[in-house]
Amino acid sequence: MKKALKINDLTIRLALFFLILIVFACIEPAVLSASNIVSMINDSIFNGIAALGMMVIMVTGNFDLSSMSIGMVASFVTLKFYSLIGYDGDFFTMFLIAGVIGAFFAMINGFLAQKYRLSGFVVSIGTNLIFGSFFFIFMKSSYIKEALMPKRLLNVRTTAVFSIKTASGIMANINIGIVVLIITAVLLWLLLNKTQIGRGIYAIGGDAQAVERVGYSSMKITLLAYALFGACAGIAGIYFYSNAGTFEPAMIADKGADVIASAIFGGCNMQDGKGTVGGILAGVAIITIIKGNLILLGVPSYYITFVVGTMILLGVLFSTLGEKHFRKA
Amino acid sequence: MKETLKKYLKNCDKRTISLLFITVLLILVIGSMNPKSFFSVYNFKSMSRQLAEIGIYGLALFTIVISGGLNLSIVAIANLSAICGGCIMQGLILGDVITDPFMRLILGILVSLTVGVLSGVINGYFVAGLGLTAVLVTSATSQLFQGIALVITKGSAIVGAPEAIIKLGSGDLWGNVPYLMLLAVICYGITHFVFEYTSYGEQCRLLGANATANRYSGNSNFRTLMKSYMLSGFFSAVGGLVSYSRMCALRSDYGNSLTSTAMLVILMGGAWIVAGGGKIINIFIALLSIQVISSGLTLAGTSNFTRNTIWGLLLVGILLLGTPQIKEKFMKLRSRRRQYKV
Repeated sequence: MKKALKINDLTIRLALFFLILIVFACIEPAVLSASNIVSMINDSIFNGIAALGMMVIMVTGNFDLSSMSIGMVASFVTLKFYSLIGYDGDFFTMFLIAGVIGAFFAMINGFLAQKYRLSGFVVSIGTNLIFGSFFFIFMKSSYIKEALMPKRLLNVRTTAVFSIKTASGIMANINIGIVVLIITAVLLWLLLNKTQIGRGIYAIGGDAQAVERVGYSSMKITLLAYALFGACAGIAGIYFYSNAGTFEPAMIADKGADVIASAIFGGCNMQDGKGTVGGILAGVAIITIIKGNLILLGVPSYYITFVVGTMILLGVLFSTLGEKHFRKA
Repeated sequence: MKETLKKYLKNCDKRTISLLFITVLLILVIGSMNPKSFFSVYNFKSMSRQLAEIGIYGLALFTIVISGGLNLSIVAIANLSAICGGCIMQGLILGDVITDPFMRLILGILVSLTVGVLSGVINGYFVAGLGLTAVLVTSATSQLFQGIALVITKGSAIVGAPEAIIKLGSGDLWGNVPYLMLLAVICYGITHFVFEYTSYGEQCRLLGANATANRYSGNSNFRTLMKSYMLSGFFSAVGGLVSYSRMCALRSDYGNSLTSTAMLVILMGGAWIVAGGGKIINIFIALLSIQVISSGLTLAGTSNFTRNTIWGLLLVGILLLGTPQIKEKFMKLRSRRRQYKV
């Protein structure tokens, strides 16, 4: 029986991923071309980092809508900080500063939710509005031109981990962001699965009272989970904006739906605190491959939201019902 | 006379009185800042039209929140149903079969309300029937409904509305009362009746307060929640028609910020803080005060950022005020003051 559960977790998602890939490749062989694969990998970076953060929150039995505005505000503060000290920026400090600021903002959410026993979801609706707009009240314009962005941050767009020469002779570059994604995933996996704190994070989603009795401080664990979530959101945000080359608050807002979609499709469920790093990565892969390739297959672009919506609904359905089925067996 | 008034006030809900007080205070403060433009007929008309739109979305959320659920897809349902209805009204679908514009209008309204209820049934089936998490299901169906709307509109806006719809959005009864205001008051009246005087309303409150108790008192949780989702879908569809009449255009991604405003309204009205709580009268007064703030901000010429920040601060502030810890602190302050007086 234990084996059946394990099959349900990750293997089915991976099988689904390869099934979709093969079906798509049969319809249109260009799906498997080097340039397309590379662009899909690049597309999944932002989504992957943000969805990993979302998973930590959902594992603790909460839900947070403010991830995109946290990412936005963290990258805004980082960019302003760089222009204030007149520094051109580098990759390491940029991700570090954005992560720390994101963690700070997310911890406000966590603190309010835990201290006053509020639903983190409802708090996040309010803080989403605050984070997304508070800093721009006093600014003359919320827009940062490409010329005013820290110069070396813009290198994110061109720095490649390795490049492949495609059939048409253009170099296809895998973006440096993939390293960030891998590091985030590995660190999160280690923290969640190999440490005592990680056990606590998983346990608090299952039974908050039991966690207190065992000796964890549920306040500390919640704050840590929110900090991880915010750090991921901040890192994803700064990656997104330096990749885009300009800063505008509204640019990131409609990416939130995809992040939630990947988290749900990755098997996250806050009802009893489920979610794994591997599942999230598989979910991100599936969402990316569907969103990225439907146009290539000749499906009109306005069908994409419909297809993704159906997929997520099926994802919610199967992750819950499959679990119930296996429990009964 | 005085005694009966006192008795009436004692029986009244504390929240109603404080909300009324806040609203009057807000009207006076904001009105005194800009009396000429605030206390004008034009401003009151435009205020009541905006109020109707937010208010009906608030109702769509209220009917589901009171029974302990959640619906994030109200705006998506509204857009989808308005698009389905609007296409029939404009003759884009079934244009050759039905040529009479009046028949088109009636059929369009019926179709949009039906689509709203059906979307509610889908939500309700997944949440109540299969027991999935409401937040996840409704954010998924939100994408789904928006996707269907996008497929129908092919990504572009459908411009133009029949005369009756334009009149609903910008016309007035007897030259002074906007039709939309009338519609909102009727909707609030119906909901008030449903949640105060019918057994279904009581079941909803019981389900929101304690699902197990509701089941053990012989009610079907599934049926109650399903009805709530259907009602929520119905009001979303009405809200969609209201948005359509105000914009005179159909878009699949209209009004994404309306969900959080609607949440603010019902939170201020007392639903959600107390499970199964919330009275329609309170929500209507909360709606008035929110609209007064919103109009004041518009008259002051502030940016969207200020408005969003104020909405967010209000939301979090109201949530915090409802918690026992903060309430206790207030009580302590009060008792201390009384001691000084003695």
